[in-house]
Amino acid sequence: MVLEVKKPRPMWEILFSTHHTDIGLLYIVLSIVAFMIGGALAIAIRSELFLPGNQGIIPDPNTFHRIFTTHGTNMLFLWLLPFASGIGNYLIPIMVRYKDMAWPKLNATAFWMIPPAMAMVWLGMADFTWYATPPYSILRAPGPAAEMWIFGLKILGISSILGSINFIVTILKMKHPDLPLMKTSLFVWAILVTSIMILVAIPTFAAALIMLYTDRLGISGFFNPAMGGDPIAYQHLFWFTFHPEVYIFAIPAIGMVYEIIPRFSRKPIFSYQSGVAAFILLAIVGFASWAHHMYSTGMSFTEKTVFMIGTLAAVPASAMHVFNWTATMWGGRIRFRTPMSFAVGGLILFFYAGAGGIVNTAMPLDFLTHDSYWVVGHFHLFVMGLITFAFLGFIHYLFPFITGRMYNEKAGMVTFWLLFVGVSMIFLTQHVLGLYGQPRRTFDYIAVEPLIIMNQISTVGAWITAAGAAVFITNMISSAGRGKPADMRDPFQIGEQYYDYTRREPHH
Amino acid sequence: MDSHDKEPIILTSPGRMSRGLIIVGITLAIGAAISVTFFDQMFANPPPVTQIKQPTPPPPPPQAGTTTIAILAGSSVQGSPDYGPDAAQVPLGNKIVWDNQDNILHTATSGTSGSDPDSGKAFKTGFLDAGAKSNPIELADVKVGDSFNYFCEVHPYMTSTLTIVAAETGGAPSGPTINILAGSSVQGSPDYDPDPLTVKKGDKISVVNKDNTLHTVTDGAAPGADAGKLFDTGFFEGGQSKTIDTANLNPAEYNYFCQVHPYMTGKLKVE
Repeated sequence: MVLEVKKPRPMWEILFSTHHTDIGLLYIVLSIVAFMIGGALAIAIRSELFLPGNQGIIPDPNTFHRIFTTHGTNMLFLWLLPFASGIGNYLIPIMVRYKDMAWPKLNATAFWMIPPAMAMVWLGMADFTWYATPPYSILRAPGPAAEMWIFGLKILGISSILGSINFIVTILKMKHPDLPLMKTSLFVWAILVTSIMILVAIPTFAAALIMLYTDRLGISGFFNPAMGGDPIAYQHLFWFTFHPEVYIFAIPAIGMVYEIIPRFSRKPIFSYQSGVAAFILLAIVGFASWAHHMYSTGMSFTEKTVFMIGTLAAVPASAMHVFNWTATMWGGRIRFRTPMSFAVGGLILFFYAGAGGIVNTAMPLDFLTHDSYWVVGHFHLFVMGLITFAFLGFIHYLFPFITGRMYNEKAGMVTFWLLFVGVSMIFLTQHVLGLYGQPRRTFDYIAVEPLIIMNQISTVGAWITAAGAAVFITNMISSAGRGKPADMRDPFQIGEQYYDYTRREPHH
Repeated sequence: MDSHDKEPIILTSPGRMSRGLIIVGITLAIGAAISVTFFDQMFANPPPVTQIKQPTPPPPPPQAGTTTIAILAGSSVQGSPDYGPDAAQVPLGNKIVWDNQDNILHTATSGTSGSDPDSGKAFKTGFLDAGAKSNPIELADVKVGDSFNYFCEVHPYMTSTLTIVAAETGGAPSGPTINILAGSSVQGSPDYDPDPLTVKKGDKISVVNKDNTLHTVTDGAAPGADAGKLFDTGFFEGGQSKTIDTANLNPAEYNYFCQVHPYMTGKLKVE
């Protein structure tokens, strides 16, 4: 499963290694497994909604709730976060020219906290959505599923914090003295900014989780109105962590696109400084917009306006990245290999997601779209369109580095087109579904023609996406074993520098 | 770069790849086996929250067909309160039981006094020992609106009346009532009934929660510092009821809402 430079090691040595590329590999394998099994849940959800009424694919509404809760939790915390950490583990020490991460054992610890957390989330299958919104989550949500979810997330939070500390120290303290920070790759900046955001954001949710748990035990009543608590307080704590989390998911993906686009356009980045500035700007304004998830909770007009402006402040920063990518491609000799196709496709879907986001941001319009399928379409276009596309593009780009072999280029392009068409079909139509009034998180919907047609387009898109994912995983597995050996200095034959493969050799 | 060319590159082999897949596959299979086997058990326990009150069942309707009238303690002394409730309302078709709570013999005999020729014709309990209850007495051939005088044969100064009323209203709280309808916690459903409610200053309003979850009736239009200053029932579970006293409210129109579900709003007019 892994490229060896000198001699193959036994599998257990890779499993329990503390070398950054081994841990990076473990992160990537775990996250792709999570992506596949979480995707299977999504296909079940979409197939169930192909027609109104109970299709029997998911037996009852209760199971439906458990499935979409696990799908959401899994995709965010077990696919997006670990994958970014995995790529970070592979590349950060190479990019800052250090032999490993600053604390290799801490690094391994951070990884090995994830599988138990994953087991808790998946075996429990809680039903209170990935928001775990009180008062339902503290008064009625059945255990032990809810407790398992709370502890699973707690462990994942600690793992993220340990990983972030390691990244920050590696980048700032272990960087080669001859390498100024402003000469490092933008991916290094992305991981640095993300790690700092994690350190600021996660503790709030960590506190909220403990409060949630003691509320469930009946010791406290922070969010329990019957004991004088306030459920809205939970939403503030939750979104203070998880609005920035959106950028925590996105910024590594943006960093990966910065790795891909200049290489395949065979031009230097249009403006390195604006990329750095936009990362920092995103990180700051990411903390000034959390309450835009809560416009309909009865805030005052002034509060809503403040958060509306705070949210709109993220638009210039995101637009700077998009402009930077477009300007880098402009006039370049572009080779549309699979990674580049994913990056450009992600850029297009990011544009749609952002355009829809402006509607949500505009507080009066948000009252129309709130809690409807519009929102589902919007954030999926973002996490699937931009982030997952960047991740899938980057795993193709890094494939020769990991395995020493090339993936099948034709299969890679088939993957891209299936996913691009499928994802557009699913999530663009879901915007319309929301405007027609279909609420989120529903097992059934009213049997009227527009809703049925839109849901069916969306479901067919999901099946196309599933086909794309099947091609992807088959390509990855078979090419890792039997693919053509890659030219390790320039595997894509684009005349650009590739990562130094000798770094694969474990030194301890 | 040149030095690297001399190093042998060992590629991932199909054997190693399949060994990796086996590790992943076995892990997933174990997980799936546990998940499928214990799927329902993972979802079995309600949270151990001590403060959850089981919704108190609504007070039982007046027992099928019986109305109890107490013979109050001390009623043998002339001038004391005697029958309770005095002027009782008996739903049509109900049986009546007199409950002697005094420490001496009493009766309840229809008529105005012992000299009434019709005395004891409609009903008669006979002598009731201290603490005893009469047999259920059924009134034959009565209709809504009929009124009976009755008295105690031992203490003729103890007199009272009972009136036959329509059966449906029996047991319902009298006076103005705000019902919180079942299902009102769902946004957009009908919530308070009647809305608006008009009452006279000084009336006591009963608020009956017919839903299955917590609600409040709190004055104001939305949660805020001013909410609940004039009247507020506080949180109460389904099946319970609360009272709002309008004695301190000036005649005006008041908005009220539910603190748990701020989209539930209503109006109250005090005249």
